Amino acid sequence: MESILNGIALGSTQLLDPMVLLLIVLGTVFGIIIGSLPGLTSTMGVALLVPVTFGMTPVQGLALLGAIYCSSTYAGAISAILINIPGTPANCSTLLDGFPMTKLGQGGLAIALATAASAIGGFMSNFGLLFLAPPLAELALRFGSQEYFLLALFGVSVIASLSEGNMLKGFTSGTLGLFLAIVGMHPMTGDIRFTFGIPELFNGLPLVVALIGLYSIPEVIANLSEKSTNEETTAAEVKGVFGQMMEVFKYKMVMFKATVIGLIVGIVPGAGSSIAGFIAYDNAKKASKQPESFGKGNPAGVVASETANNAVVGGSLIPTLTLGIPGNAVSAVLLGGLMIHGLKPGPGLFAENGEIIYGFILSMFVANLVFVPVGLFVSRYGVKFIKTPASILGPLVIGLGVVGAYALNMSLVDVWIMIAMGMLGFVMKQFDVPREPMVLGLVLGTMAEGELARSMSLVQGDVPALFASMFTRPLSLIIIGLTAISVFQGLRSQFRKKGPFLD
Amino acid sequence: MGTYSKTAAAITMAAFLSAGAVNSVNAQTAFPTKPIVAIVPFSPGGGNDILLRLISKHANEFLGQTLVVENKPGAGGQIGWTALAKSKADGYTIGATSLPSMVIIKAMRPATPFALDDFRYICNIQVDPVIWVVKADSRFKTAKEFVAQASNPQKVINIAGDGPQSNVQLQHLAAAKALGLSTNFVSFSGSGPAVTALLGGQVEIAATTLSSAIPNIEAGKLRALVVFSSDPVLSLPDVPTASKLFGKAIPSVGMAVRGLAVPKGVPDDAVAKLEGAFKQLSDSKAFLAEAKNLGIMVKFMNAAEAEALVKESAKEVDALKDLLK
Amino acid sequence: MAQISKTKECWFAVAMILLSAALLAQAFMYPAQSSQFPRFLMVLQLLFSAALLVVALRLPHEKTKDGGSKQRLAALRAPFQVFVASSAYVLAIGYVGYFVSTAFFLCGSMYWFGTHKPVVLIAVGAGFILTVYALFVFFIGVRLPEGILI
Repeated sequence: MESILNGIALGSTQLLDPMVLLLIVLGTVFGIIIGSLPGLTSTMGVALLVPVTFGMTPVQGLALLGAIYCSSTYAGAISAILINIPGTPANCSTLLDGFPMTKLGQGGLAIALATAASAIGGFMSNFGLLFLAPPLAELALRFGSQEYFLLALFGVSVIASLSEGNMLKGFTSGTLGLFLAIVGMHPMTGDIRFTFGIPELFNGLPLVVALIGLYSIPEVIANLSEKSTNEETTAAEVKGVFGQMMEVFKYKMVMFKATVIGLIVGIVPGAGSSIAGFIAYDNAKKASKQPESFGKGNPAGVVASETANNAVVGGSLIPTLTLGIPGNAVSAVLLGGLMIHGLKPGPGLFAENGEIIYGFILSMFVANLVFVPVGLFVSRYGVKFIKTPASILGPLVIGLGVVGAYALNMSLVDVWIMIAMGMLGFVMKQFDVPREPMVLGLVLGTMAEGELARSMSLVQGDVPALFASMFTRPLSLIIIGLTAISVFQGLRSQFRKKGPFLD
Repeated sequence: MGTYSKTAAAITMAAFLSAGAVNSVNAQTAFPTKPIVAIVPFSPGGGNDILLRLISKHANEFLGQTLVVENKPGAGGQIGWTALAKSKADGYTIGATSLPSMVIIKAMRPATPFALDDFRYICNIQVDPVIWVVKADSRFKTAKEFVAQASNPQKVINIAGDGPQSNVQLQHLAAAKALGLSTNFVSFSGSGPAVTALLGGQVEIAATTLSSAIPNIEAGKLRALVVFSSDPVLSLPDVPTASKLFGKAIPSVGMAVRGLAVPKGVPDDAVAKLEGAFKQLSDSKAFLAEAKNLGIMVKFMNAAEAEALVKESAKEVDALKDLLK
Repeated sequence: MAQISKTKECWFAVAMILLSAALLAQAFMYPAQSSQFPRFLMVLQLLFSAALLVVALRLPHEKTKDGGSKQRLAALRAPFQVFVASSAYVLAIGYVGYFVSTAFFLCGSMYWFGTHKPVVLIAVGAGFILTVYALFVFFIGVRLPEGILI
């Protein structure tokens, strides 16, 4: 504890550098632009700016990258809420209730709530990073292959909750997502499956590329088909933003649970912010007294998913900094940035480069504060942006999707994949098949198959031993228990809802 | 007016053409005249990416131009190397190479659309041998103890490592074959996750590249048993090499050797210029100091040596590739 | 939400059954060790689709509406436009280069989708291209695809 306080003292002297503060503001603005434009993601924002930091001191460079990470994760909510396209994969669960709120004329409120919830989630998880990093890193190490597999199952159990109206179609969509994720190399044997000779598919369908297509293109089509319904849906009440932001405190319990979910999902290497958002959303829905109001514009859905995905930020940096193992794609890129600045992530990092690392962590507190006014300012114009006629907005959204899908891996094949997924998304929309279960499947597929195969390999094919250890390892038991509770709650609310119809 | 503008256009054209001519003359003598792009066939944050970004940080001083890193990840490097092989052979597109990964891809997937002789190898800069590593308090005090325990086919020991079909797996299987071990190689998606599994006690031993285990070795959490290279490594002087320890030839086929290449057909003078610049870079104090801090073992090999190593690696991998199937 | 139509639901279920059967057959072409998970998934998918078909068959018959086919054609106009425009765009990027094809795509598709004012077309197109150039090429140094032109 004393060393942490010492570190804070050391780190805060770093923050007095006006250049650091300026870079946080610039990084936030850049992050909000990248994040809110559909097609441009956090990973890309951070990756593209790593070379720009070469000329800076380590604290300056890291403050810039950290600010981009925090603000872009938040800003994806803006486009999710206003135009039904998640700005980054993290915000998929935000649109479930965010966009219906916009349709109800509450877009401004949704953005204010998303902003406040994001800042609070980010702030709380940063506290976790600051004070609880060693024990949480210890927890991350306890996650073995079988726990990862069980976690993936837990994630899959959320599907039911995302497929309002037609559970069967939700399952179909989720299964297809799982399948699309596992095309390519088998994680243990290396056999290549279902790729039709396209090397871009050897490591599975590229997730972010798929998401860009799945959401942007069907939305463009929808906007073009329904003539001029846009004006009435944008009763944007921008005034009284502060009061609207304060409404977030109606959802204290939702935010608390979402923060814990985000933090824990964040420290598990390989999981990601989109999973955290979905799990928190599911949790808020099941805990609610009116689960049926979710998906129709319940503010709690927006608050839960935005708190959780921003809470992932701090969580994902815990294994990155303490073990040198990145928690997700963005922190992998950040890890590279750290190393280029001469820092060696791993157990020795806090002791050897304390002032830099504490400076970096503290700078993210500032970033979480800075994106509130900047984000509200941007979304004020964003609200106007959606009044743009579909014939102009559509080409722009496609243009952004194309450049985003290309710039991720510098690959035109990825752009084609994006367009193909756009067609799939359109077909799904035509047949009222929800897309969110597919996203969840895409995120979890590799984990489910790979970790199951790895668990089997670790017990050398002895299946009874695997089952036994699933019910004897405490962490496995906890995850199994949580999954059981989640499924049970889901069933109960399903029956409750059916109730009145049966009378 | 008409004549005037025509004349003006003609003059402008002439000026442009002559400027172009001068430029092309200059290009003969003063390559490079614009930024050079370096394709890294892996995601940001990996071993190759870190090396190239470090080089790019220092490149300006020696090349006189910036080196822009471009990540083209996918299919274990196949996509990036295919792109490099097909890029314009003017010296302005170079790419990161990694042996034996390039060779393994070609050996495992013969249909891969690049050939090893599609490239001109400029130099190699980093070597990264494979090690066997255990937790600091492991029951295996030495590599010999592990080998003794692992020779019992009734009680197969799990070993974690990057895989499948990676340099690490090839190295481990080659060693296991030479020493008659019966181990179960469990593939993890990279050396990082394999180290995590080891730290978390999922496995007792892991095969990893030196660079990915070194922070935890220096922190006293992990212990290296043996290093698969011909010479002992400077950062771990007490860890024996495999061939010396076991007294028989164990090929260091999995040792990652990272360098740079250009597509075939780049003019000789451009290759020579690049080779010279990277030689100077890898000798420079600032670069060496930062590389050492990151656990990067710098070992410069010139174009001829790099070329020869590719051939040697191809031969070695070909002899052992059935182990990976 | 569109009205739930029996025919549509049936078609969907049949298509899903065929798709999962085809993928299941494909899965059996790979070694068992490497394809257990996809086999399992596709068996599951087959069950879900079969259940969907059962549900769809039990739906009441819908009344046939007049001019159904015409309406359906009109509904396909927007998706057709979007896919033709974007496919042509990506194809052009590979041959012609990023910036020229982007300019043509933006102006062309805005015109095709219904914005005809030249000022708007040029302003939006130029604004987008300048932004992309400033952000990616100038500031960050990404190489966008180059073709015959730029």
